[in-house]
Amino acid sequence: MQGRIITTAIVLFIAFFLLGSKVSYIQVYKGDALKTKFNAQFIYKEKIESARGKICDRNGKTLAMHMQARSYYCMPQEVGSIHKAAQTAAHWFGLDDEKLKNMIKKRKSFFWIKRKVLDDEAQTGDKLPKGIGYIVEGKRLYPYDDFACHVLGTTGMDNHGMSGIEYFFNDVLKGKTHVLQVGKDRAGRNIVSREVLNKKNTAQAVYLTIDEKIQYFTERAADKLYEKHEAKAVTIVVQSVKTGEILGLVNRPSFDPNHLTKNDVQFLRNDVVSKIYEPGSTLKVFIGGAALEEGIIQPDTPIFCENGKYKVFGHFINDHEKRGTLSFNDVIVYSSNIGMAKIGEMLGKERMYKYLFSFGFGNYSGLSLPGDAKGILHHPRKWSNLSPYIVAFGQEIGVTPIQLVSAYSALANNGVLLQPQIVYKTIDAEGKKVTSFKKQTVRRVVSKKTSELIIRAMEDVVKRGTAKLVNIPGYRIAGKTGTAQKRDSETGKYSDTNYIASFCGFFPVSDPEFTILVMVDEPKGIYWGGEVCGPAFRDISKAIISYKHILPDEDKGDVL
Amino acid sequence: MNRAKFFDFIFYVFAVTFAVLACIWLRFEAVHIGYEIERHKKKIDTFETDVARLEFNVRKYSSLKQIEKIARSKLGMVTPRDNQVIMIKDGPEDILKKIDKERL
Repeated sequence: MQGRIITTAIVLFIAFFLLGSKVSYIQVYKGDALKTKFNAQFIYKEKIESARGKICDRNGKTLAMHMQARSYYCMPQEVGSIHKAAQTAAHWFGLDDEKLKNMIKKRKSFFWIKRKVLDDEAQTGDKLPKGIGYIVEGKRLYPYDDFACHVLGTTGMDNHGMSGIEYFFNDVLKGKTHVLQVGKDRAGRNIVSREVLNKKNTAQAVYLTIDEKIQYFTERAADKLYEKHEAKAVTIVVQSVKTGEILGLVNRPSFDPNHLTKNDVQFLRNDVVSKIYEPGSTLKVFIGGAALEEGIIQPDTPIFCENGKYKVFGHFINDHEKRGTLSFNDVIVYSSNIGMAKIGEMLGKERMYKYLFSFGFGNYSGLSLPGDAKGILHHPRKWSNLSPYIVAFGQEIGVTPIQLVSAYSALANNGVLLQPQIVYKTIDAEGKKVTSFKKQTVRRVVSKKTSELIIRAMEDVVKRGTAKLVNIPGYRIAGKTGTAQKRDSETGKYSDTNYIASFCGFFPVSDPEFTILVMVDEPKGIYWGGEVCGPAFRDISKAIISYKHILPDEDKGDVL
Repeated sequence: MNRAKFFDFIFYVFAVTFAVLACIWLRFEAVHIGYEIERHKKKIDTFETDVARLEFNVRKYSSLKQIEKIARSKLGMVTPRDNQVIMIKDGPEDILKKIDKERL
C-alpha cells in the first residue's frame, strides 16, 4: 500500500514538476520575449476622441448634440461572394447594387460604403457579409434642423468645426484626443487596460446667450419677410441692451446642418458679422448724437433742407420728400439727407470719424463667431471734400449688422458701448462651470443726456415719422429706418432698383432691454425700411413682450 | 532521505506548483474580467446612444416650430390681436406664488 502511495506521489511529483518547469520557462525565462511578441501583434495605438460637447441655448436647451454612429467599409480582397455582399449592403443602405458590385470588383483596397449611419437609418442585420465591416464614429446632430444654423455652424466628416460656434469653439467642444495603447486578442476583442478605464471626457458643452424662444420669434419673422418680399437675403439680430448678449440671430437663406449639400456652402457665411453694407439712414442717429454731444446743435436747432435738392461740390443730394426748414429732431424723424449733410458739414471729418469709430464702426465687433469683419471706415485723410456730407446719411461707409445693432444698444444703454457676446458659459463633462463670459464695457461714447436727446428723436420716428408701422399701443419704442440704395458693382453707381431696407430700434424706452435690427436685402416691390422691416420688428417685439412679460411704459398694468 | 523529509519535499513542490497555477489563474481571470468590463462598456455605449437618440427625438418633436404647427393646424389656435391681449401687472409666476400663499 505504502509503495503505491510513494509511486503515485512520485508520478504526480514528476508531472507537476514538468508542468511547473514549463510554466516557469514560459513565464520567467521566455516571458519578456513573448510579451514583446504579443505587444507587437496585439497592442495597437488607438486615437480615442472625446464625445463632442453639446451646444445649448442660455436655458440649457440642446441645439447641437453628439451621437455614436456606424461607418461601414468594404475590404474588396476579403469579400467572398461579391454578388451577395453588394446586394446585402445595397439593400441595407439604399444604394445601387450594380454600382456597389462594380466598386468591389474595381477597387483593390479599402473603401467606405456609407459613413455615420445611425441605427434607425439603416436596417442592417446582425451578421455582416464577409469583407464588410464597420467602425464606430461620433456624429453631430442638430435636432431643430436649420434652427439657429448660422450661430451653431457645421462640422465636417472628421468632426472638426467648419463654421459658426462649431468652428470658433472647436477646441473646447472637441476636447483632447487620447492616444492610448489598446490590447486586442485574436478574436479582435479589446483587452481593457487601466489607461483606457481612466480616460476622461475632456470636451466641454457651450451655452449660448441665444434664447430659444426669442430665436424662434426671430426666425418666424425672418421666414415671413423672406417669402413676402422675395428678398435676396434677410438678417435679424436681437441684442440685450444691458448686457450686450445676442438673444436671437437669423440669416435667410438658411441651411440644414444635418444634411449639408454642395449648394448650401454659399449660405454658410454669417451675414451678421461678415456682411459689409452701406447702412443709409440708420447711421444718421450716430452723427446726430455726435453733433449733440459736441454742442453743435440742439434738438430744436432749425436746419434748412433746401426743398429737397442740395448741390455740394457738383454732387446733388436729394430728399425723398421736399422739406423747408426742419428742427434737428425732425431731420431725424423725416430722415432728411440734406439736413444730415449740413450737420455732417458742421461736425467735420475728424470729429465724425472719432465718434463713428467710438461707436464701434471700422473695427472688429469681437463677437465670438468666425468671419467678424471690420467694415469700412476710412481715415479722414482719405476722405474727399464731399465725404462728410454723404457719410452723414450713411453712404461711403461700410458696416456690419452686429456693429450697427451694438451701436444702437450703446445709445439705449445711456451712451455706453458694450461688447456683443454670443457665448454665456462653458461647462465640463461633469457639469462644472469652466468659463463664464461676463458683461464687458467697451467705452462711453456719448453722455447720458445726449443719448436721451437722440432717443427722444428716435421715439418720434416711430410715433410720427417713417416707422409708424412699428407702433405697439402702450409701449414706447425708439428706432430709425434705413432705405439704402445698393451700389452696382459693375457701374460703381447707386442702383435705382436694388435697395437694402432696414429698421433698428429698441424698447421699452422707459428702461430699454432689447435692441432689434431687421434688414432685408433687395426686397421686391416695396423697399422702404419702415414698410418692409417695421411689421417684422413689431411682430418680434410683441412676442418678446408676451414672453418676458414686459409691462407697458405709459400705463403700467393696464390693457395692452 | 527519510520518509518525513520526502513528504515535506512533495508538499513544497505541490505548494509551489499550486502557487504558480494560482498566479496563472489570476491572470486569466483578469483577462476574463477585462472582457466583462469591455462587454459592459459596450452596453453602456449602446444605452448612451439610445438616450442620445431619445433626447434627439424629444427635442425634435418638442421644437417650437412643431408645437406652433400643431397648435394652428390641429387645435385651430390663432395669434391674438392687440385688443385681445391684456397685460396684467403680476406675471404668471407671481400669481402662482399668491395662490400658494393663500393656500398656506
